Amino acid sequence: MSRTIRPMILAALLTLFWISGGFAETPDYKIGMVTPTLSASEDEFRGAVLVANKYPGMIKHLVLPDNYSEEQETAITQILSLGDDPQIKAIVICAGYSGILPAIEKIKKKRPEMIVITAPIWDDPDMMVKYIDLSLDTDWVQRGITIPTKAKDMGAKTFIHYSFPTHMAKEVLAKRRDKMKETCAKIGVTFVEISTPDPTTGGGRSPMLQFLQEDIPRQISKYGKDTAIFGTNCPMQDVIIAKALELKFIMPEQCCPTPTQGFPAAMGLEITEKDAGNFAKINEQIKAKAAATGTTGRLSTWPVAVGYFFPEFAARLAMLKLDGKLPSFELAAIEPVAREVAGVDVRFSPMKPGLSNYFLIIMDSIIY
Amino acid sequence: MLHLKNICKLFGRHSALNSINLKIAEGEIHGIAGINGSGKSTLLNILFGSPIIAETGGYGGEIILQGKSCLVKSPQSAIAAGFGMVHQELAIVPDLSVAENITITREPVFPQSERFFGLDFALIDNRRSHIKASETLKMFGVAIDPQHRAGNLPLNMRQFVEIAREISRDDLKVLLLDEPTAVLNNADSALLLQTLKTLAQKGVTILYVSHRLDEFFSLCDHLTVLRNGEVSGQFTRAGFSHRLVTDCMIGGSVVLSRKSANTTSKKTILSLEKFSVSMPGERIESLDLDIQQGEIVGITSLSGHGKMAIGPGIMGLYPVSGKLILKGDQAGHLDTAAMMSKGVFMLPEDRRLTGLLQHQSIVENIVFAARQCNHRFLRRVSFLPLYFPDQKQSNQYARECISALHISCTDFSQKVRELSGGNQQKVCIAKALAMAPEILIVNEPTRGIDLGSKELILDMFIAMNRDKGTTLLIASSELDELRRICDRIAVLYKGCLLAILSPDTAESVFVQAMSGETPQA
Amino acid sequence: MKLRLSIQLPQLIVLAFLIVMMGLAFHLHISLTFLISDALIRLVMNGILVLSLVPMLNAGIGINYGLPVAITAGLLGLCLAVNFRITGLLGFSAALLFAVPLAAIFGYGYARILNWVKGREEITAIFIGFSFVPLMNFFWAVAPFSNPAMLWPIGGKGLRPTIGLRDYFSKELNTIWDFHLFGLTVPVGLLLFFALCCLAVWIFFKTRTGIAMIALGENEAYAKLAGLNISHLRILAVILSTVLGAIGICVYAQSYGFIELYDAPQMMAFPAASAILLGGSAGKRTTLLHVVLGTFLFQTTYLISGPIANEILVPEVAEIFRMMITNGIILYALMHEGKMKRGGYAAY
Repeated sequence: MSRTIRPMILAALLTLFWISGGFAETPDYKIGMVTPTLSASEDEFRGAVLVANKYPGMIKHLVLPDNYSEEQETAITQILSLGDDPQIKAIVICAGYSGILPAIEKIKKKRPEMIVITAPIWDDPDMMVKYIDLSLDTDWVQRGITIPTKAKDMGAKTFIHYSFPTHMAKEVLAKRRDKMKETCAKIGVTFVEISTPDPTTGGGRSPMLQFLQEDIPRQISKYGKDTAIFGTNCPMQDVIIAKALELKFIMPEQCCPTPTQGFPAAMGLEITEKDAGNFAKINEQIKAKAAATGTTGRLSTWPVAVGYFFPEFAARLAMLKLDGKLPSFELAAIEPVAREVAGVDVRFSPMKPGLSNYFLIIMDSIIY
Repeated sequence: MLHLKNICKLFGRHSALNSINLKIAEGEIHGIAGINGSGKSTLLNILFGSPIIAETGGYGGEIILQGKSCLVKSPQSAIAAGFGMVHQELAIVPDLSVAENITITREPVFPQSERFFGLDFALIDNRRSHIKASETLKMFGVAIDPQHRAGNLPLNMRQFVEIAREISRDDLKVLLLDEPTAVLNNADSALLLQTLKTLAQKGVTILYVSHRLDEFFSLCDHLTVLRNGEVSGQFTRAGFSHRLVTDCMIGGSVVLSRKSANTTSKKTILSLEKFSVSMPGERIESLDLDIQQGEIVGITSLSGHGKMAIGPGIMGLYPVSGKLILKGDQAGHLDTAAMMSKGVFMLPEDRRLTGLLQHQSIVENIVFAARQCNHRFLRRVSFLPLYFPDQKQSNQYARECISALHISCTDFSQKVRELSGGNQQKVCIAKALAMAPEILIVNEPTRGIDLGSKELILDMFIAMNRDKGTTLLIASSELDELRRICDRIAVLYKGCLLAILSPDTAESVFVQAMSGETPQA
Repeated sequence: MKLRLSIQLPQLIVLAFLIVMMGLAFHLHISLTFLISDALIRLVMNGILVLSLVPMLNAGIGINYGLPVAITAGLLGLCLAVNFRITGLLGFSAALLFAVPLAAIFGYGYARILNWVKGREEITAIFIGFSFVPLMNFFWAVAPFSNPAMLWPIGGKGLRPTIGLRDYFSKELNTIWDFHLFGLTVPVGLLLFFALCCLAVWIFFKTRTGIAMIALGENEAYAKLAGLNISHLRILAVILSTVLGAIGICVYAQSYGFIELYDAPQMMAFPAASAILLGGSAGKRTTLLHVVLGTFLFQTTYLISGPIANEILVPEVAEIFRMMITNGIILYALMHEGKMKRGGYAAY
């Protein structure tokens, strides 16, 4: 029941935003933003809301159905409706789903001047570069190199990789694991791969988490506290960070690098409504907690949630382009914008050599 | 024609049948008598290949049919060998029509469709199926429309349908009947027996199991009596005698119970006015009945005519209308707990499913209701508002009951499901005694119980009535027993009270009343 | 009651599997003391959730697949305790104190629904659980809790999916009176708490009402004829199950160290159901032995197969083996139950 009510209330709220925005004195164009629902992915949703608040009246925020895979048709109709609104001059889609490209293709055929930025969507890259003005994504595979390297810099002698069969059957995750193994061998760190109970079968995620709770102390007593632990599944991060506070091992990065994953629950961070979404404040708090628990220099992540960064970054790019302040989406042109939005350096690399409109990013880390 | 050689059957370590030898000629009607647990049903189950036999390790010995030894492993193999069986529990499909039930698995089909699709998927020829069914039913001389839905038929008619299904088989050689007349009235029984005789003349061998000795005398050529899994006597028609056969069945003679003097006071304890109960299959319409304190009232009728509905109706188990006045007070909404607190208790006819907690011990069964309703056999923990069973007191009481009622068991902690039917019924009566009700309603107290236990149970009722002044309401189809222990017997017909007769009234008057003829005063 | 050891073939198979695994673990130099300490904690963590199935099973309502209802009540209690920043053992007691009346209220409503659909309780309970979880998702997202340690870190409103209990009452029960013996940690307080819950259930089933409930579970027609108020007894059984379930999740959460909200309760009924079936409860009265044995066997196979599988480098195979054995036994138990039930009930 709530599955239908929630989007309805949100839609109503957003329409309200949109209507009230209509009275403000703003440029004569709008940007359509597409994200999943709050419960499906907080970062993207809140990121879009942030942009909408920052630029009142300029953003039309669309929320995809909660059960996207079952209601793909609805999603496509929603996105197409953006193309029918003449005021909308750019569309930003931040939804880690595949199957959205056909909608973009249709809009582009009808209105070739429409600027489309995806950050990210997961469709066929060769088709994406053909229709999408700028595609952005996190550099998942490259992290297979950066994470172990960072772990070594933080003092790790052993690197433990927790995952389970269904995850290892995913190409990107398996590739990243292979890269990690390779890198560890290169830089002289012992790589240990451990399989947990699969959360997609039977008992849900609790057996996996329970296993982690019991296995981490075992591994630390075996390999010592100069061990870096990486888990491939989001719920794992709560346990890994909580155990890191207790056993003082190294947590180089979560699966989705952001201060808002794992840290708040494991550290019991008290983030007031005023500070919510203020990453500088959140990072400060984490630093203080790390110092209090004696884990300074043991925990690290990216300073801003990628999912939270992407909507604002993409919207800024679209606005600059529409205002004529950005000649193209060349690397040299977008890098300064990224630094301005994120507050740290962001490194871009083309998805494939030679591509100039599909970039993968790696952010500079913060070590608490 | 049918020769049984050394048939043995073990259930665990208990021997149910021990080296049974029988020779039965073609076209012979052979009766099998015996008290409950003597092995009658087991014998029929072996012959028909019931799964329960195979599941418990099969049987020993040899079955020779028409000179050929045949191994009966399953009902399928039994049917293939030429056996047919009419079960004690009705085995018909209520949602199919009468004709479909009769011709089931042997449906006439359109030959063309069979050629194309094979027998399993051939189209059924309904017209021929109806003809075949009505021809078979004609043998009984009963009028049943073959197109009728079988589930809508009254119980006795359903029994005829089941028998018709078996005798309509062309390849039937041996027909096994397990108490086919249990649900039939006298007239219907007579029809059935006549049909069986005709069938036997056509060369079908019939093995007939029943509790009613009279039927053997009028029907059977030979009679075998079983006792404790062994043949205890064989009789030919000329040598039949009621006395000999019963002695042979129970291995001694029985003294029949009989109520002595009339202890009835003239005070009405319970009266029903325009009392209707809508119990499916046993409706009661607008019944007026007064029951005096301290009397034993029998209620009888043919099955389906309402005798079983009075108890459940009074206890509020089915929707009722009309008035019920108990000890001068009119009861409003009828409710089991309320009735029990006013001293009314009922023992249901179905001991196995509703009368006992099969998985619990004798003592738990005896004291359960008394604990829950009368707060007996309990002790309270001083500082907690909780009541715990007083096991010592309960065990003591159970021990007394076991010796008083001659319940044969290892001890009071034995599980009830391990007891025989008669002993289970005694446990039920012990349960009622523990409740010490003022009015006890009993449905079919002696159904499926062997002769010896029957008398003991009837004695218990008489003793309860005499010593404790309990008023008893006994609904039963065993007219003979009611006449021995009751002060008055009410006869119901189609859910209405037809007459209240004295137990001394001639049996023929009762039989007439049960079939709807008001007796002349 | 005489204690009869009801260990039968299925339990023996799992036991044999466990012993083989233990031997392997020893052979592979996996610390057995770690395993045993964890097994004890797991037994209690999940034991009360499994125990909570007993009243409904014994009242003949079937397996409580609606456990998410109970769990939600417990989660609410936990959230309230955290919201008021009550810490330590007091915080845990406060969570229980909040959870129990909530569970009783939830249980009453849940029981009314189950009485409505008599005869199809189990499937209905599954769907009550499945529809209750999303309803609560909405609640969690908008609930006016104020402790910033529980709110979404970016939005600042609504509850986080996981709330850390580190600063409140994480592992409070696990560490009362625990002592170390040859490297083995024995959580005495935790075990005592579990024993206390078991004792309470055991005593309840010795009372007049408890006996009535068992009779109702065995034979409803009989219970009706004995003048028992069936719908009251059923409601009582459901409320008891729900209250125990709420206590169970409180114990679980303090041991795990996190409160898990949103979709987390959705599947939690199934491991509990598996455990009790594995314990051998199918088709007859469920005893505490079934609860303890089933939880121990089910959780310990999980516990032990993981490290061994990783050690001998065949994680998938060991996982498949574990699932085959536990699920196979549960299937066997259900088939056995089906066989016992054949024949069915009729009458009133």
